[in-house]
Amino acid sequence: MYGAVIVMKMLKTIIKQFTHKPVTTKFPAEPAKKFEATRGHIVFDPSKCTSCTICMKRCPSQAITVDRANKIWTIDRFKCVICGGCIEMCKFKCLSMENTYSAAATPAERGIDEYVITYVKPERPKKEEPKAE
Amino acid sequence: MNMEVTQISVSDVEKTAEEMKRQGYRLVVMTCTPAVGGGFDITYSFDKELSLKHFRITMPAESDIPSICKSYSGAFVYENEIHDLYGFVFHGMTIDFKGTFIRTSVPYPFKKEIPEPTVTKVKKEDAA
Amino acid sequence: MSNRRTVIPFGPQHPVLPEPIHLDLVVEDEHVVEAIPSIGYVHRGLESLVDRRDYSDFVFLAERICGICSFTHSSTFCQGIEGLMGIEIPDRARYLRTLWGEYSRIHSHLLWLGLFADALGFESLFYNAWKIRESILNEMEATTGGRVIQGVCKVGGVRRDISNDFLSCMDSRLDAVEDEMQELVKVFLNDYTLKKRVCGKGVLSAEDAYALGAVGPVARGSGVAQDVRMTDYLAYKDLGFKPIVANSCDGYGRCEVRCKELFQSVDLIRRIITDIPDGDVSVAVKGNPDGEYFSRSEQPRGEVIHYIRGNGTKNLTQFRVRTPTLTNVPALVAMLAGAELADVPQIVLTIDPCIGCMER
Repeated sequence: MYGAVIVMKMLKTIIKQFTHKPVTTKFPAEPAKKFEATRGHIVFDPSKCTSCTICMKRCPSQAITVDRANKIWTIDRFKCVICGGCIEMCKFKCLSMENTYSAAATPAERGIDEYVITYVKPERPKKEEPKAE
Repeated sequence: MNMEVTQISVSDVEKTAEEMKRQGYRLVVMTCTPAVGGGFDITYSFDKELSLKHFRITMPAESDIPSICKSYSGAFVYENEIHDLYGFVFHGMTIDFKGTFIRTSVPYPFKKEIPEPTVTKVKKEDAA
Repeated sequence: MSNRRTVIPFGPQHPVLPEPIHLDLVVEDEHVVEAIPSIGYVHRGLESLVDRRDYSDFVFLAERICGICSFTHSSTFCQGIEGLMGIEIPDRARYLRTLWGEYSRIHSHLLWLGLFADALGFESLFYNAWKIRESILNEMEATTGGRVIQGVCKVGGVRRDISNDFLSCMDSRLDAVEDEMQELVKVFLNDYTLKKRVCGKGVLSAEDAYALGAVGPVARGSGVAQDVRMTDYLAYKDLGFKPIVANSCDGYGRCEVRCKELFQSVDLIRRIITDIPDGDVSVAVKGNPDGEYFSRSEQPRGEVIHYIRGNGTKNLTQFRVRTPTLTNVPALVAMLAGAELADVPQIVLTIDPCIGCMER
């Protein structure tokens, strides 16, 4: 009797193996799972950055450097912990989060992303019209 | 949660621990921190039915402190840790590791001056 | 012959240990007479970074003390700062922190159950435990954005809100998870082979557990009803929490406590989802912390203490953490005395050692 119960239990498991999909995904064929909220990588918009350097000062892992003189914004993808703190701190909304991970890289190759800041300070009295001259 | 800290003298440490043990308290933690006016604070926290009680001694660096292992034999982890990180010497521990509980490359790493903030700095802005 | 003693080094590299801890086992015949632990293989000196970072950025660092109980570390740290500055966080934030805390407890306990099964050589059970853990991690990622490092706590509340619709979806998905966990736990608590390896091994009496300062499932597995969730932090006072206690005082007791806490956490999450109030999830924070504070909360492994001291500047001056594993080490030493050499790996694992946590 007891043996029969065990066999029935095993049968259930065995049948499950045939009727259910595997729990793992076939990665390259099937894309890896991600969610709306997934913190993938930081995206920088060079047209809005005013080089205020708050992101550099407050980055917990010192991944961001802002070179005000040469107008270069740099992020080290290997240092960045994708906490999203800079996104909240940025007053000019030039940083955002995307839910895809950054592409494979090595510290020497493609590990550091450099952007040239293209923001031009609008003229004083007018507020909304950026003068791109 | 009780944040009140009672200051006691070094000679009272063992007596206080004994008293706490008698009253049925449990040793929660021994915290070592640099004190405001120089030296170090060692805070003993005890717990009974989820209410905390703290006692504090203030000691100059590298001084000798009696161990409370007689009353709380589990205190050896905290005492060895404080010895290895700050360089205090405890007398009468149940297991004395003599500085090998936490092996650090720098001896007594936390016994130091407060360093400068680590904020990323770009080299002086040359006139562009 | 009986008093010839040998010292056998155990660790820091050992198949059952995910993290490095070294034990010198003094062995007489096959019995361990004494175990002398030593740590320091992964000491990072993380606490000393506190005087160099802004206190609100340090939340991210506090979270990285440990990869498994990361959420509780960040919420305990925030709780400490809020206590110092007298900030009252919104009710919804309190509930959300409790929710994520309980989710991370489920994921940590499932991780431990898997590792434990693996240490016993029961690999299919290990896969099953981690399969269920994956669905918990998915919930975490969908709500916070991170699988194990959530990064949602901030001083003054939480960073992200969960919509009520999503919460009810989470509730329905919990049913499936609970069924799967029932199946899993049945094996852990009733399997003959498993029981042979844990029953009567690593005995720690209730008196010893209390005297040596054991916390978390180690204390509760020895019949000491010690749980910080009984104090009124976060939303636990509204939820009416009762700790789970096992009285067998051995490895089985600790396993049983963790198994039952899985379902307790599921119940708590259900209660949170039905009771959660609407409103803001964070308040604005102004000023700097001044004074000292002992913040404590219940991690999956037991009680954690964050000692925080500020001097009115944006950098804290002192930060010390006492993690549950450190205070469970004396209990482990007591358990190992008298054990058989072949049982040492399982006994070490029953305290759920988290060495990264322990050394900061």
